[in-house]
Amino acid sequence: MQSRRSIVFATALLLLAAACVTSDAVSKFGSQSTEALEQGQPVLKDLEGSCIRQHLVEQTVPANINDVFDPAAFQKAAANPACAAYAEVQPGELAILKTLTNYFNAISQLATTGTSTEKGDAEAAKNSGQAGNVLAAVSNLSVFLGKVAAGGYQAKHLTNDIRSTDKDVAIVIDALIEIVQQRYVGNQLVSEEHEITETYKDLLRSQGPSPATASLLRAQWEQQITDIGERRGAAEAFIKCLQTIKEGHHKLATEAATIKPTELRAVLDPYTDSLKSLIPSIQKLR
Amino acid sequence: MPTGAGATPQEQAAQLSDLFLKLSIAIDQVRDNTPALTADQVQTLGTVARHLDEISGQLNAAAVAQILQRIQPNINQIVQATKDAQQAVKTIKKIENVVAIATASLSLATAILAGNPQTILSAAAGVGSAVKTAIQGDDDDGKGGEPGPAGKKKSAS
Repeated sequence: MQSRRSIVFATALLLLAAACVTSDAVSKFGSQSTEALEQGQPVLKDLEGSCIRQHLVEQTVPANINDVFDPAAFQKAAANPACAAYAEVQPGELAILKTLTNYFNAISQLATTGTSTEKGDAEAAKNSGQAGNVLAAVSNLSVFLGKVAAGGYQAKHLTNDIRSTDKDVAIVIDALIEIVQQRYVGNQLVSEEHEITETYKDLLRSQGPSPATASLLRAQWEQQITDIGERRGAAEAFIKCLQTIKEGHHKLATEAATIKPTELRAVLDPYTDSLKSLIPSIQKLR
Repeated sequence: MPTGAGATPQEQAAQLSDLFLKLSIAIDQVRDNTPALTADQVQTLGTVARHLDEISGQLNAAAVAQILQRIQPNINQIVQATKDAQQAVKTIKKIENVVAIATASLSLATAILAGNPQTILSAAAGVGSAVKTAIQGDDDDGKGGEPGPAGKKKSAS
């Protein structure tokens, strides 16, 4: 009798441990995704930042020495139509990122405590210039977050809800990848690098290059090109994070209901570990 | 990423931005690598390249998707004209013709941002005409003309 009780107790403990593993694996993946997504803010903001740096370099150097170091030069560069266009969509793009970040934080919190007060920002996302399907996906994630934050959410529905939101998560992540890969790395940073180089060439052409001037300009150019390389590296690490989060979420959505709770850890931990190792590379942008 | 008429306005904006950026870089490379340009030609090519780069930035920000929605019927024509201009700038030998293509391309880019379909059509035709004239001019020049920037190393694609 004593031995049977021990077996029942041990089995109950094992089942409890398995349930904790499930919550723990999902919670860790959610919180690591949240941390990785939070690193994306400086990347998105640097679309405008890169444009401003580019147009700052392009400005004609004033003849009056007192005007050379005029702080208004920054405002003038920021007012360039291209930089103003980046500034116009930036709050919307950040709202998309924030909604996705809050979604993963909510998943982490729900897996741990069963509650979350995170919110989406579908309204602000409308100013991102993104296509209708992206805005609809952000809206769907916001609705899910609103439902959870309203209270009374039953954690037993989480597996089903993650499956329902998987398509929206993928659409939002693809949109963010497009912004960072095509518009930032593939376009704006290329433009900045090219214009900086051309501006220095023009300066040397117009001044008649003394070796000292040429050497100083070359040193300045090297520094700026190195900085751009680091920004590109940080952005590429962020893209890898986004791809990892998308794949991890999809695995969770498709396999959580069918595999044993103990196996979920083996499924999710590689994504969690991968995110952890990528985050320091994005932080170099700060 | 889908391109042309089947793409979303946002994807079209990104594609046009990319094309205008490459055109701007190609124009700068002609400016850098062509010997004996006049001061006017250097200035004109530099100004056009810079403006094309700025318009590329505006398209890249995706804030102009509404404008692109208005000009859907012309989108394939615009993309083709821009591609033709980019290719021609990289191969045309006579610098006057490169300047003409660059200037016509800037008119097209400016017209896109203004969003008037009639002006865009006219500007796209202007690019087509400048490219055609340049190719004919090079063919005639091939019978004894002066070598230009073509054949020099180009990194833009």
